[in-house]
Amino acid sequence: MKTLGWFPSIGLSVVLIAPLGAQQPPQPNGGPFVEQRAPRFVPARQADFMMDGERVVGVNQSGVAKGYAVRFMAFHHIIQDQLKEMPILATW
Amino acid sequence: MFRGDVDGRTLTFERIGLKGSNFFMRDRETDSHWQQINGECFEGPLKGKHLEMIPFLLTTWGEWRKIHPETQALVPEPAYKANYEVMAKRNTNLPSSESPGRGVFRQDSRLPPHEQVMGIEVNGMHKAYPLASLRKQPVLNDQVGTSSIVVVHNEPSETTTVFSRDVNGRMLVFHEAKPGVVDTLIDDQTHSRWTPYGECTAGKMKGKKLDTIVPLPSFWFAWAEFYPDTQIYSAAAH
Repeated sequence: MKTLGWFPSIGLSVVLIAPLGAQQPPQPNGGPFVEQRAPRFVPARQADFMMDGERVVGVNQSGVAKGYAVRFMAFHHIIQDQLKEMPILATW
Repeated sequence: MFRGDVDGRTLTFERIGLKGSNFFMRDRETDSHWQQINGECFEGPLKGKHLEMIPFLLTTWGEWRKIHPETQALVPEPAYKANYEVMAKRNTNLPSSESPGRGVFRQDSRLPPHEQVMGIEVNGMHKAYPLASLRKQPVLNDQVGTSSIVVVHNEPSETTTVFSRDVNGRMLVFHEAKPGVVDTLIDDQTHSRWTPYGECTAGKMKGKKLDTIVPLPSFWFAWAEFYPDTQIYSAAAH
């Protein structure tokens, strides 16, 4: 992410907060939910964590295609991302 | 799936609660409240604004990769592995539960609450297509108000696409090239061949693309709650 390099403390706070939050075991409803504001992506051929038959929400715009597994979206509920220059909000 | 900005300003959203059966968000910049199902701002300084919807496709990873080989995949965060697993189990169990959950403020008994539907909006009119109907009839030439549309359902990947059947003022009627298989569609008028993604690959219409209508996958109770005027597709009416 370009912005992390530009303002390193943002990157640092993400690194510190995420593992701490995860120390809590999930509640029966799957929460506490954590919005995803710095999503990471890999090309399809490197996505060995994905299963062919699993549900994804796909977007394809401005020459960029991205697949968000429902399995991960169902927990984050909110993913703030970019398609090229366009900010997008993926919700589930 | 929405644009993350409103009038040129990028907003930071957090999930804060349920309104009816659907969650709503607040943005940190203006403290306005937004409904997830339709992107409508119902409270705060931006009340009345709508997040702009972005076309998306609900499908399987295998199908998405096939049609977009260059796609990227969202990477799961290892810290939340246990949470992902709890949510996945919970969502698998949902359809069997009888009650639509807390907070539902309008009930519509035309369909069972957890019937899965694909909901569409065309020229301000709404119509719900039960998945069960689409499985029986994978290519549906239909009418919503004055608009002619076709609903295509590919059962192996549980992918539903919807298009306008109006191509430059000419109404087309589609059917599968092979009964029950929607990989190739043929229109009765020109016998051109089309993909389930609305692209004409052979025949008089080659190169044409149908206008896409993005269906919203939903449980009936949530769709009916926000679109109480909705029609329901029923095979009996045809």
